[in-house]
This record gives sequence, structure tokens and C-alpha cells, in this order.
Amino acid sequence: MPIVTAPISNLVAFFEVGISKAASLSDPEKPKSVRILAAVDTGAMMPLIPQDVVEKLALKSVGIQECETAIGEDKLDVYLVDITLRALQDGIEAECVFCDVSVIAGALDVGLFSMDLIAKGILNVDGPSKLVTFSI
Amino acid sequence: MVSQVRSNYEAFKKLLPGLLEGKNAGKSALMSNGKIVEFYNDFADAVRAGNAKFGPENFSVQRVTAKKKKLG
Repeated sequence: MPIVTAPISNLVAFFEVGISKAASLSDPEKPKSVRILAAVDTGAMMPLIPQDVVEKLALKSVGIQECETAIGEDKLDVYLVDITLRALQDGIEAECVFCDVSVIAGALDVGLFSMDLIAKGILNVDGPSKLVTFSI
Repeated sequence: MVSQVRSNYEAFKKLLPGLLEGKNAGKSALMSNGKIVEFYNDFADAVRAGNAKFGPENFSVQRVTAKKKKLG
């Protein structure tokens, strides 16, 4: 499954959040551990993540996740990366994050984050430390 | 080094029907060289164990489930 570069506006990332929404909102100043499970291009329905992000984070696939998209079944590479949720800065963006959590799986431990947040400077890739900061 | 992810996945698909009927349904299977090594309740724990036991790219983790994630 090749990893290719794509326009970032088309990307969504599939995250597994290690905390509940209630716990997150009760202490928004505290960094939270979140793991990237996969990324998918919603336009092309291909499993991909930007090559520069893969290289910067030295991401290695650790498994395969089968998924259903609007046009059929697909398989995603699964990555495991620690990222840190920073303090609540924008109520609208935080609401987007957690709305998607409920939409995608009906569970609070799974989230779907719009990767165009990277373009807005909200999601920052922090080099060889493999730390991604995600400010909500 | 060639990642084992795909070959382990193909092996896992053959084992999955039987696994779904057993006590490990819903768990995460740590795999190496096409075989399941151990089951974990938490996906991340399985990955950490795989890194510790086999090193990066020498293992993979598959969830014991037939459910597919809905992404669009």
C-alpha cells in the first residue's frame, strides 16, 4: 500500500484518543495522549498520509485496519504515534473534534480529525521526537 | 528490511473466523512471522510489546474483529 503525498485539504486523520470527552473538557489545560491510527484521503478514498509527515515522524505501519468508505471497502495502514492535546483555544475547533468522535463510531475513544487543521497551524509536527501537538 | 504487516495480515485473515468464536474476540493479536504470539486487551499495549520483543517492522497487530471502521 503506497504512501503518497496529497493535497492536505483532502485528508482526514483517524485518531484513537486515550481519554473521554468529559475528562478532556474537565481539564483542558492538561496535555492528553492521543494516537494516530490511520489517515485517509476522503476525496480519493485512498489510505494515505503526507510523505513528509511520515518521514518526519518515522511512521511505521503496525497493522492493517479494514474500513468502509462511501465507495466501498478499503484497507488502511495503522500507525501508532503519541501526540499531545494542548489547552483549549478555540471552542469551535474543539466542538468539531468531538462531534466527529461520536459520528464515526459512537464511542468516545475514537475520533476523526480534519487534517486541514495542519494547514491552519493547529496541528504541528514536531520533528524527530515524534511528538505532534494538537491544539484544540 | 521488509515489513511483516502484509504477510501477517494475510495469515490473520485465515485465522479470523475461528478467533471470532473464541475467548480472544475483541482483543488485539500481536503477530510475528505469520503467527499470533499473544493477545492483548489494548491495541497500544500490543504494539509496545511487539516493539520490545521483536523490534520495529518485525511484528504487527491485528484486532480480532470482523467489524470495519466506517470512514465516509
